Amino acid sequence: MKKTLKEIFDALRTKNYRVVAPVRDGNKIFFTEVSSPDEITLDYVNSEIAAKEWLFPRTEVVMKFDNLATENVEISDDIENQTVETLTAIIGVRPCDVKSLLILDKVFSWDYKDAFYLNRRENTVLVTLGCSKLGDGCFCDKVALDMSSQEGSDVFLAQNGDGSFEMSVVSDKGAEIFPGEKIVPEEQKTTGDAFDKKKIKAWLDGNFEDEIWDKMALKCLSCGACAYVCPTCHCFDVIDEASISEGCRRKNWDSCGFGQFTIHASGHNPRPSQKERFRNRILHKFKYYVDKFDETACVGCGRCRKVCPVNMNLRDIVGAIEKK
Amino acid sequence: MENKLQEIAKKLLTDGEVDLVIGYGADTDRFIEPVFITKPDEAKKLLWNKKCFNNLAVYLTKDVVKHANKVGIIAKGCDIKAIVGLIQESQIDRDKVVILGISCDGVGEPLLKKCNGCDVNTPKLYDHLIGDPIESTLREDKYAEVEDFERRSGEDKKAFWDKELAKCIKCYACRAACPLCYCAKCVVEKNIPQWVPTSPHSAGNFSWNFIRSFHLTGRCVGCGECERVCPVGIPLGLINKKAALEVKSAFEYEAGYDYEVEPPLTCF
Repeated sequence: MKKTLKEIFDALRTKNYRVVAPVRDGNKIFFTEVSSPDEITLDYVNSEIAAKEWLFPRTEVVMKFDNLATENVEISDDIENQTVETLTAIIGVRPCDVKSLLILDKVFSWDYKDAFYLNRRENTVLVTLGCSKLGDGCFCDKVALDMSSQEGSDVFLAQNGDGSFEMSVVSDKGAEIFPGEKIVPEEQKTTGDAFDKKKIKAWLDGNFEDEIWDKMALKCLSCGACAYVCPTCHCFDVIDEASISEGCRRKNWDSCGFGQFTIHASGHNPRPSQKERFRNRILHKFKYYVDKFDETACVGCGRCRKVCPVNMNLRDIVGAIEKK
Repeated sequence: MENKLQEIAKKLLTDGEVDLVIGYGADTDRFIEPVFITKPDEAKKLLWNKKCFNNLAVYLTKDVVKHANKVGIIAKGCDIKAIVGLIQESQIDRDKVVILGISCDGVGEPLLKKCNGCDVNTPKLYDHLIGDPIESTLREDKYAEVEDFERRSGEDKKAFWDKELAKCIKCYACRAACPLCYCAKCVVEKNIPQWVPTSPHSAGNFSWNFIRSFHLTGRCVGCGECERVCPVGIPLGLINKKAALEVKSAFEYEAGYDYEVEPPLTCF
């Protein structure tokens, strides 16, 4: 179906979806709630922060407490409020970010069911925009993710030359908004350039101690930029913020690159230096997640390549490991 | 210049004068990434060009580097200002660092913002000077940005920072890239009790970004790394420059020029 952005936007608004889309701010792109299609930029490579933020926000309240100064402390579990999360449509999300949500789904639902994430996920429609070329930093080809992959999308858009879009409906959720024939997502095509994930996994299985980790650690500045922009990173910290009378418990993004990530109450830190911390980042994506869910947890969006102040990025590092 | 750089680095390593040279190595398309050279033969990896943005002085306070006996570092005039700060604050010994200072007429194409207000094209402090001395021709007043901003109304300034700081994700890349943010335990990491809110909400983001600036007041040398590395593009340099301008007006002091001078806010 040929559609204009306005037609897609209006159809979503008619069904009471709030619309989130890429919006330009200077030379940066952020997924932002929009009230008109004119605010949307679809001529872009990728957003600075992954679309995951609309399902797993950088900070959120998970519990509130009141009357702290009295004997009648009241605790209100905010989960119920979260279950009536607004219907949200993310327009223009890239296939890599969509794939990342399939990866996060498993983490947030395998054991403990994270109601905050899952409720939002349930109420979110993904209107994916396929890519036509690799952008600055992108390496989806290395993780064998096709840039026009429809996997995980509800609606899929391909850009036409005239500014309109060729729209395909992929899921039932999508069909509720755009009645019409559903398509079956195409099988993934593995490109010849892709990492040999099995070989990488095998090396990681046997080389917890290797000089490569020391070398890498030397350069790493130990910030959390790579983790915070990453669409598949999902670690969070839980903290309480309170005044003398009231407060709340928050779930905030966290990063294994930080020294405090693993520090124990005793003061002991099982990951005492950057070597152990950065190694964990690689192992988590290319070994631990594979052990648990039988796939890697990197979608090749390239954000780590774009933001790292010293160019530590998964493409180059995993590439170096593959050559070992 | 690259040849001279490689030649000096090689000699320092060969003679055992230093154990390690921190310099610029592989080209990443976007910039030249830091490289750590320990063997004389590897000195040929060292590069110098318009894409050498990083302030490598940040590494001088890292454990691995601190454990080296003596370190060679490649530094532009602006980076050397940070080295001056580290010597002043007793974080490094002057005689444990060999500075390979570079005559630099600016990096980045177009030039990085900081280069337009550069007055240290020829470094003020070095052990070896790479390249011929360049006379500084200020392209603009480095505080012009602050003065422009000052003319805005209070409401307008508040709206500006509300919008900019709302972007902060608390990745602390600004802190990590800053050569003078070397605290072993940062104030936001002091969590028994938690002194500063760490959540990336309005209160947390204002607290963090302004506390960082207060801690750098009279110390920030304006190398611009915080602003360069911020993944969401917050103009952090503007906050720090405002603080630097206040110190300049009150004490006639600017950080990073002379390590023998006592900094006004850290001597009492």
